[in-house]
Amino acid sequence: MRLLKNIRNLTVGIKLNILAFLIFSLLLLGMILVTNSSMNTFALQAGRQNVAQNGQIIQNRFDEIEQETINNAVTLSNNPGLPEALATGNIRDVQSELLINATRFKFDDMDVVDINGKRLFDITLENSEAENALIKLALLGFDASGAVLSNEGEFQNISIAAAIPIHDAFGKTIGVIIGSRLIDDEMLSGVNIFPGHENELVLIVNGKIAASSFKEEKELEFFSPYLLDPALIKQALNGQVIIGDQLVNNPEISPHALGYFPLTIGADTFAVIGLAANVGELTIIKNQLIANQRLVFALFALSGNILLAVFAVREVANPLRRLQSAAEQIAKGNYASLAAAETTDEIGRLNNAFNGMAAQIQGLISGLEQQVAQRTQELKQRSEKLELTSLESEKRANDLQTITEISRYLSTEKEMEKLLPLIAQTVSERLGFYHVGIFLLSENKKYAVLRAANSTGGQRMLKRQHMLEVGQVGIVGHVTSTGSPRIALDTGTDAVYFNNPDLPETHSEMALPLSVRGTIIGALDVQSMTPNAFTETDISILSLLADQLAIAIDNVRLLEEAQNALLESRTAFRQYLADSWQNKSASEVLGYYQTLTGGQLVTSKTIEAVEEFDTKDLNTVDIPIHLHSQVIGTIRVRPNKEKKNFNKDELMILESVAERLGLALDNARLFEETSTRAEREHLVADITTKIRTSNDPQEMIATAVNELKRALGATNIQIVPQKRLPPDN
Amino acid sequence: MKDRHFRLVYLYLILVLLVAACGNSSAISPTPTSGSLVILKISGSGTITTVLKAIKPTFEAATPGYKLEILSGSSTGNGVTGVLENLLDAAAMARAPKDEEIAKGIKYYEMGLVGQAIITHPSLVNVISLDNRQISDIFSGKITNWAEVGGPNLKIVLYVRDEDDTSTKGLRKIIIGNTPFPETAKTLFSQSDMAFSVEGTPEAVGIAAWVSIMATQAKVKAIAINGTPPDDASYPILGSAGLGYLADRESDIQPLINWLSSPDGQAELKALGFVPNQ
Repeated sequence: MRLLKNIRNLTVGIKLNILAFLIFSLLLLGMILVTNSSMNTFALQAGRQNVAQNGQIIQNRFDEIEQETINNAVTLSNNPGLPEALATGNIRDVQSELLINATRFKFDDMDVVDINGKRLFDITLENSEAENALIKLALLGFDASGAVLSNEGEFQNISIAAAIPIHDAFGKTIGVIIGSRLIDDEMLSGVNIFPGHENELVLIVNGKIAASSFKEEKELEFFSPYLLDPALIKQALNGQVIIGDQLVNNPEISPHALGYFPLTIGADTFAVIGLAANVGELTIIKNQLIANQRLVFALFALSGNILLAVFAVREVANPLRRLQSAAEQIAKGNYASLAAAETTDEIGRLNNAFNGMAAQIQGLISGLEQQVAQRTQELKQRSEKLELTSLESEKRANDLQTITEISRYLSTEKEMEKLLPLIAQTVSERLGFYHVGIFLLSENKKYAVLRAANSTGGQRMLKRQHMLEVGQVGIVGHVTSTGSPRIALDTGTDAVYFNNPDLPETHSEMALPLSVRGTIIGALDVQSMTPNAFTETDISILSLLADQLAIAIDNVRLLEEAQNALLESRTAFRQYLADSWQNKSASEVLGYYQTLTGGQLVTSKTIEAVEEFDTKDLNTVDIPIHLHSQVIGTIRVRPNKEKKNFNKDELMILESVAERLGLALDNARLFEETSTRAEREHLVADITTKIRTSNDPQEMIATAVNELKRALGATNIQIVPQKRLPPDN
Repeated sequence: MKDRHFRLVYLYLILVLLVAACGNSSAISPTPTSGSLVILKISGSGTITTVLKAIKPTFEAATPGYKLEILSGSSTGNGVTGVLENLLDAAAMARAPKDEEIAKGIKYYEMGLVGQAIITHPSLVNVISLDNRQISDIFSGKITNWAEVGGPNLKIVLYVRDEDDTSTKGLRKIIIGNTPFPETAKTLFSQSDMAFSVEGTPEAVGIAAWVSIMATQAKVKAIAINGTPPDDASYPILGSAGLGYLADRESDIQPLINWLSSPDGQAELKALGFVPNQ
């Protein structure tokens, strides 16, 4: 798993190289497999062909041996001594010659049979049916040949036998000579000569190996199981040629192809030839070919691998690397695009798509940068504006505070002489103007008199009671004349306004009218050391201040007037009260006197008795009876003799009683006056009603006179018409 | 992705195992490359065995699984005896079976008619045809020089077969009757000896079954009798030839009979000088 993970983390180039290596390794493996398989098939087919060909050759060689045997037997049968020997039944004369020839012909057995089938001579004395059958055929005059079986222990041997008739001089068959050759190892080796091939043969008779050409016993043992398949032997005995379709392989023995052939001698098939054809040389060739092919394939695979790797790196890894580099550059903000793709494959399309993407990103970023710059600029402007606004807000707040403060002064301060300097000082400090002056018009409205100023120069001007003629002198004169605000700058024609020696530092000045209900009452003069110092806000604020100031001044004036009027009213009221109580006390009851023994009214007639209240008595307390700050009487209280002084509570009670008493007395007086007035009004109303009962003026006058007489008890009442006066000029 | 990696690894492993497995294989499963074989052992008439030897390759090629083992012949009678004694599968017969042979169970297949040809050395170009008399005189010893019959001045060397031979019997029956062969005539005991002797003697004349001459391709020529060659249906000395066999072996013999009866077989026989029997 880790290996896989590591592989997955390798670069694409290395992965492609590994893939190429794997692909070509697999190809190489596949080619080797195919070659191996093909060569195995080739070796097998060659081996099978070899077996088939060699089998046929071997059969032919046995046929030759058979024919040779026949010929040799014919030669023996032509022995000139034989007819006589057969005729006489004595073969001894020709026996030695026959044996010599038989040995020369490699006959293992030789029989001489007379026409009756009697053996006159027999080498082995072993006679089989097959041999007898051959003899019978020969006795019929046929050259007969065939296979003859013989026993040797548990094994059976097989011989190639030829029975040849022996004729007399007239061609008549008089006997038979039969010769046979045992098929042994030597014969097998003799037929097993194949230049360039290594074959081994076994003769299988009755399921057992009767002879073999194997030189190594070990090899014979190895191949015996393969060559002694009973079913196959049976098939071969039926005349079938059987060739193995696979090679027999053994690490120690070369691969062999196997085959079974029926061995036919004459018309007899009593034995099977097993053939093991060595295809080792083919295997060597095959191995050499495979080795060569491996080398060629390896070189091919290496070349292909290198080519594929180069191709992969060139066509895949490098473009990807370039894309990666370009992507990193883009990540760093460098939008230089890749070169246009030379191919139209996926990587080429990716390359082009990447370029498109890069261009789009560049466009987006560029647009964003522009937008950012624009927004930054806007932000900066807004910030500046905000700063300005903030400053303005701050200033406005300051101004508002100033206004608030001044408004507080204006609402709290009631004295003109304190208010005006305070306003001048506050406006100067808050709004930053070095000189603030307040002018009020004189009573005759001809001059604007400086009433307050904060600056040093202004103080000097106050001392000398600086005043300016309305409509004539300076900005203030202009403003108090026109009622319109005016700003003057230290330039142009207005420069003349700045020649005031008391205020030499002034470079801009503004005067605002102080007007109440359309009437100009003065001017607010503000001067700055800064040229063009006044803003719209300043103008607004100062205008507002001027209006408030005007109202405040007016209020103070009105207050002063109201206070004066109140003072006068109070004085008159007190006078009225004094007069009313004076009249009251002079005409009626002066007071009331009460002791433990009883009380009495104090009148002018009984005042003397009250005088007994010795004021000299220190224990006597006088509590004044107040009415609207006017003393209308006194409660004089003298304690019991046992009690020397009144305590504090008692005194407070007395004061409260005195106060209530005052009010009660005044109410009583007022009720009385009101009643009197009501009676009078009733009378007037009654008279008026009566007068209105008639529309006749004369009657109305008479009614009026009569009613007045009745009401007033007057004796003479006249109604005199008004004399006409000359008109006024 | 992971699965694909594993699949590749598995494929690789399987291939490696296959390579390892291909290295050793010791099992064999032999397959027959031919069918069962029936070998027919035939002999009998020297003439017909010679013919059978001639047609053997063609027959064997045309009939897989069958081979002919033709023993050198002796006589038709011995062939029949061999068949009757189960020594032979079929008898090569230069005549039709006798009644007693038929009675013993011999069945007969006639291959055709065989002409007994008067053969000479091919150098004897001037003698093409002889009449019955001339032939009779030659084989009775009355004509002893080829000049007497239009040939070169050469003494005639006469080869004859033994009296049991089919050729001799045919010659006597049709041409010469019981007239004995002259003493100068040399008796031969086989067809091959006859062909070999005539072939090797420019002045020789003999008699042999024309089919055996054709079969052995002996360099001799046939003398027409009254202008009729030995492979002609009107040839005077014609005899039946065929195969004799026992009925219980008929199934083994039948393929050979079938082939001989087939157009290929008939053409082969005709080429060997047989005269069709119909």
